Amino acid sequence: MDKKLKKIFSKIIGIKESSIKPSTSPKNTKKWDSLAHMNLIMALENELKIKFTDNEITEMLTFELVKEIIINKKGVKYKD
Amino acid sequence: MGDDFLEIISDSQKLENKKKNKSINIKIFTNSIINPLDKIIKYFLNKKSVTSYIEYANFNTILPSNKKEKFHIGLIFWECENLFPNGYNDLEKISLKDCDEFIDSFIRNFEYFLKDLSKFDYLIVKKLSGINYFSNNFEFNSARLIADKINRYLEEQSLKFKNIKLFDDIDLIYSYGTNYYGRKLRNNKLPYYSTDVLVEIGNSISSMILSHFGLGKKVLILDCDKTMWNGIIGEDDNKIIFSTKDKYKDYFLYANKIFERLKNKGVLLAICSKNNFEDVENFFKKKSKELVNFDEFVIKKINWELKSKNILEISNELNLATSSFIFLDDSIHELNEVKTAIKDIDCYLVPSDLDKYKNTLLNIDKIFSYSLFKTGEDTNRTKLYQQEAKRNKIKTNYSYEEYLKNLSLKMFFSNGKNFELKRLAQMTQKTNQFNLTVLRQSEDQLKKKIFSKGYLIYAFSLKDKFGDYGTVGLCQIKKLNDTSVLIENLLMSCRVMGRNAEQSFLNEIVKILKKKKFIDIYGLFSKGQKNKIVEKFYEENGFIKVKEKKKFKYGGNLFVFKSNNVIDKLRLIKINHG
Repeated sequence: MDKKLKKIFSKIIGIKESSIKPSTSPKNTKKWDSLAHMNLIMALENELKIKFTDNEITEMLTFELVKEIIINKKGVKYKD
Repeated sequence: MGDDFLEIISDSQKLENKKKNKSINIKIFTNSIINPLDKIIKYFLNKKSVTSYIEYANFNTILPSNKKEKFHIGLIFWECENLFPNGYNDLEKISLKDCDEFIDSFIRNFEYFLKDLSKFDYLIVKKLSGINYFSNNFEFNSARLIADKINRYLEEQSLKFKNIKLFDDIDLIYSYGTNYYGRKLRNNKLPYYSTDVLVEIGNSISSMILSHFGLGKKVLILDCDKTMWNGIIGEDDNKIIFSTKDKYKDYFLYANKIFERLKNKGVLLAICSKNNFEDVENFFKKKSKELVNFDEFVIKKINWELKSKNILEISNELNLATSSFIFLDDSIHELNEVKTAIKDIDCYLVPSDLDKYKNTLLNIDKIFSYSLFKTGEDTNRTKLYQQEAKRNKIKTNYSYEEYLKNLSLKMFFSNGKNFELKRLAQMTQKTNQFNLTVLRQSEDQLKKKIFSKGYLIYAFSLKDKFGDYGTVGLCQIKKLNDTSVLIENLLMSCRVMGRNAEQSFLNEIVKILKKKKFIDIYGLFSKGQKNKIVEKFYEENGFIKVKEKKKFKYGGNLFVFKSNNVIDKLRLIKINHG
């Protein structure tokens, strides 16, 4: 389940897939700055064909939280 | 085409973003969030082996910075919606007086920007759009009034200042509809545009930039069957094609109109088709009303060879890089063969669902429209290349020396001030192959040198019995002291390569420098992306490599002229001094 998400994170933020943990966040990942965050949201929306709300975007503080938000989004079938 | 957002960002991320000697430096001014447009532009430029440095100016400003910095490209990307304090939310409350104030304020800012225009060689300004899809308001409203008036002002400026070019994305708005926007502008901190639209905008803008540096699209190569007409002339009943029985004839009539229009704009048309030459030629004669005139194709490769082989020959004969080609064919198999052999060519497929053909044609038309400069010289291109084809015909019958003699070449050699400044600057921007140091210069920079006592600038034009090539060579020489000079750059348009003109030009330069009592004549070669062809130019023409570099700030290889060497051994060009 994590595979596709990790691939997107890795490509957009520019970090190795193997280094992505549930707790990976902008605080402990130097390359995950505000611009990378913006690109990440656009890429996730584009790849998964979803749209995030303002609240969801501000809640995306760790890899795990991003994953939860996507799973909870109505209508998203999340498969590897 | 078909570039994926994730791959674009991922690939672009890995590219360096530093101002370098050979990088194209771009500054973006915007009042809306357009990130990651910088990365998308960078990606498309890199695809054509062009390195770039891109930075954003402070948000919401078109004021140039105080720093003495220069950029090749300035990109002004303003959105109409953000001119209003509350976006389009209070559009209905805006009075005509308010509209005038918004317009005045934009123009005031822009006029201020124009005062510092010399900081940029080339300015791309996005036209404003007053269409608001989110409220589905297509009616004429105050936003459209403001956008129209500002756009009219921008058009006037682009006519006044030749280095301002407008970018219009109205076709994207109409083709994407509500999908043009990613979200409402004021809602959050994400880009206004959808990812697909951002990618298209980035691709178009990079085409404009590449074109400015002579790397835009110049040639459209067309297959015949099922591309220019609906059928296979060797197999199908030729009478059906373009008849009332031909259900899709209108699509192909439209296609031929587009090809004709592109040709009139200066695009070179060529044919690459697996067919019998006579069959195709006869068909063109029979259907002269429906098809582009057969003589308008600058090269016709109609045979049974591999298409990639034919396309490489076209590149060779036109002396144009395959990166400036677009190839249109109805067979995915043929496109794959070409794409595998020629990596930098752009291929387009005639869709099997012919209802979509019009969109493909419009895309091609758009890419070319961003690639072309509307100068007299560019629209005459087909004629110039047809003259070249006549030259090539006599070339095959003679030895190289006899061929040159037969051309009756005449060179007009003179000081740079006796040539059109715009053309001289354009050559520094667009010449990539025969360009010893790839020193890009704006009109202002060049003008300063022409009238400076520290520089000697020479140029030449060339003609032969078939026609006039126009101004095709430029040399910038820096006086180092009373006895030594450095040829800072020497360039020549690729259209006159192989005529010995470069040797005659260098010969004249050396003669003049000696007359002026200069003893040490240095020449510099600095590697660019496409100038390998002139790597040995100085060594082949009487210069020797200087091992111990003097204190020059320039990077590259330094050469010095050995006094008794003869440069122009053939002396086949008649020189007129002006």
